[in-house]
Amino acid sequence: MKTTIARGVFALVASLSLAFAVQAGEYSSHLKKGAIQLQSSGSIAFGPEGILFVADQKAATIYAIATGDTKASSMGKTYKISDIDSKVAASLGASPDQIMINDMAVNPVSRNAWLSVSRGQGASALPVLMKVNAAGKLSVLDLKDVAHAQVALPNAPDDKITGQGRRASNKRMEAITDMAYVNEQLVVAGLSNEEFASNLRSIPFPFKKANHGASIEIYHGAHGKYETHSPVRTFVPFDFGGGDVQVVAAYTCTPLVSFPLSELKPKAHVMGRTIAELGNRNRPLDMVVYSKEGSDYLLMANSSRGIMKVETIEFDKLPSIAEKVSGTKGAVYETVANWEGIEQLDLLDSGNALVLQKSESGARSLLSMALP
Amino acid sequence: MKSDNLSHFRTFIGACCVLLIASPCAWAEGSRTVLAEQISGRAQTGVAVFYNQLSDEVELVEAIEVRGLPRESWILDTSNETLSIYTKSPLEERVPEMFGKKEVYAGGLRFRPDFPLQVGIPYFVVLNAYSNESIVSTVYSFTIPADESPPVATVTEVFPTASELPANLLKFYLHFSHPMSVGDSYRHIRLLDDDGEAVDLPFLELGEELWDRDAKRLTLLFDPGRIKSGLKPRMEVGMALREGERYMLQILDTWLDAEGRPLVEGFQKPFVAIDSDVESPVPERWKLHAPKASTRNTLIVELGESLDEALLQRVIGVIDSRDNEIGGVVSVANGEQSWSFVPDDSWKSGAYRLEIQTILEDLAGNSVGRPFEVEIRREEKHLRPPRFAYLDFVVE
Repeated sequence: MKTTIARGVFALVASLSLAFAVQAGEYSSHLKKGAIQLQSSGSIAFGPEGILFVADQKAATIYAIATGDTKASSMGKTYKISDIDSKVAASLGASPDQIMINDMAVNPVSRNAWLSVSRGQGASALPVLMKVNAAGKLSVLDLKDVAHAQVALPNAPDDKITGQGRRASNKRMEAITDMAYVNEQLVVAGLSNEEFASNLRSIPFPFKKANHGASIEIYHGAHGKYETHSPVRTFVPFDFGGGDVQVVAAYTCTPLVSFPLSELKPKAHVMGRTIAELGNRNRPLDMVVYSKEGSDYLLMANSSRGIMKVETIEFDKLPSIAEKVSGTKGAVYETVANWEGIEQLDLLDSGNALVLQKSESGARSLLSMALP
Repeated sequence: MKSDNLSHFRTFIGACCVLLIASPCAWAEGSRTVLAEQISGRAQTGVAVFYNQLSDEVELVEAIEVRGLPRESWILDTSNETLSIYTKSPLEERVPEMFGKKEVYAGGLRFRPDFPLQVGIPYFVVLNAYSNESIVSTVYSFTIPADESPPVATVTEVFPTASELPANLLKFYLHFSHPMSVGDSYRHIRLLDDDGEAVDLPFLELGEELWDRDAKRLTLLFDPGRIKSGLKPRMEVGMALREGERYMLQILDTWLDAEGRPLVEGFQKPFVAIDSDVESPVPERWKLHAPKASTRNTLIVELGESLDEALLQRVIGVIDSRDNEIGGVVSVANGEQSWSFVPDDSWKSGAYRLEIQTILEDLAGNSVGRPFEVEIRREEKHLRPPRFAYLDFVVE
């Protein structure tokens, strides 16, 4: 879902992606061919070499899948695909109300859009991973024999079990609310459907046996007086250059915070630095970071205010979380016109975003839009 | 488990085929038939659909076959352009054709859809074939009829069950009798105040709805931004629940189950918001009624307050003096103020312990290990609570 960029080096990364694509692939060589039986497909994110990370939250497993979508594409792709739900539904032989697009990600190598889709409802819903190219051609990723690796999240029935009676009643599941790949780490944010705790994990990639990644407790502080667990709803890694990667995250309790990636270590107690408070009715949905004219910006889609463009220049100078952030103190942001109804957001290239935009009629389009 | 497997199986059908009316459908014994209607083009062949309907949701189609079309009339050997299946009439709207594998089969053409068909919606079969050196396009339509089954799903329980709930209540668990449709849940839930006015956005509306694996239990979190101290949402609009006020949680019958049927009826849960609870549950204050040795009598623990039902079901265990966990069945009762345990085997004389995971929460998210909000004191900074708390008891 997320693409990380480094300050001033985006163009370089883009030009190198061709080279990455044609190499044998040091990451792909860690994947093994075989069949994948997804139970569900939720969040998705691209790693290197066209490898797609897929959160199967029903199975409490994350897959890394070689999509084979490795043909490098230059910039300048334009997407204008109206009523994408109907097209996806038609190709899967269903009515649009039986389709849920759970996530969208751009493959930074090919610049094709990928969708994580559920077809049908309830326990029998079928997970589907689809590629959409700029011409609107849809294809389904065949999982019968595909190079992949997987890591189980240690969140399934992790408690000791007292007899079959209790085993049967364990309904715990973790919703993976977001994922991103950065510096050989897959960062995974989850939210339990039972205990209210933060579940942020940093999993090394290539996946290593018996390493489910470090579980990090994320907190939110207020007034310098209280702190509470704060599950992360959506986040984006942001490379300030020189190895200073920050994770910019929106908590479920709405503040926008940042913390250094380097703090995501086992048993860490991480309190983010609040960079903006978003107020009521304002539910962050998705974020990207980008460079424009020498400055870096955070673009955040949310449920009520259209899209917010946040200046990042002062991120590292903002007051610490320990202080109360008044309305005027946080990062400067503006609401960008014409970006209403954005439900999914990713970087298409250095000048454009790819969005899933819902119109007033309820139909959703897959569109490329010039970054503001 | 059995019934789950059965219902999963029931969502699929054995077979369905499109073929000449007169042709027997040997592998679909006991199948039903629906005639596909020709809606345009020159008549080339009749089309019928044979299917086994085991459910009114989706249909697994093993193959759609066209027989009797002369070989020389196919456009391509692979039949790619000869046979296509759509969900919209190609005469009205252009949509992508359905994914499936097309192959030649014993003189006929076979289409194996990659995904099950759905009942109640029209499908369109397009045959493009050469006839007198020109391509003739014929469109057929068929619908696998939906069984007109009445609504069956109900709300079986909403936790917490108590009628007095703290104003900083963190969540409800909504239990349903059948798997539900997912992704549009919040539209069917209302929280009304005493005047019958809907409370504005009380819940955390997540794109990733917090269901269990069977889609039969939804966790409905209150917006933590309106509970936590000092946050803008709470300052702007206040907490969703106000102490001393009456409320009604309403679940509307418009909510569809996984098979598209509405609920049998809506559900209402009236309650009163009482004082906020800002303290952790303290196991030392629980009252434990030890059973007698050589019986399978119930171990009853009175908790003194309502705790989180889902966590009570799974995070408390009983261990013996050698740290072995005792097998048994847990139940929760009395407004989630009572936890009880019936062992699989008789109690033996001796020392036992209740092993409590400190993630156990009360109704306001205060866990045994840590209150929902902690006052930061410098000297205690960043202490992780131990994973378990213990209560000792003796069986005599």
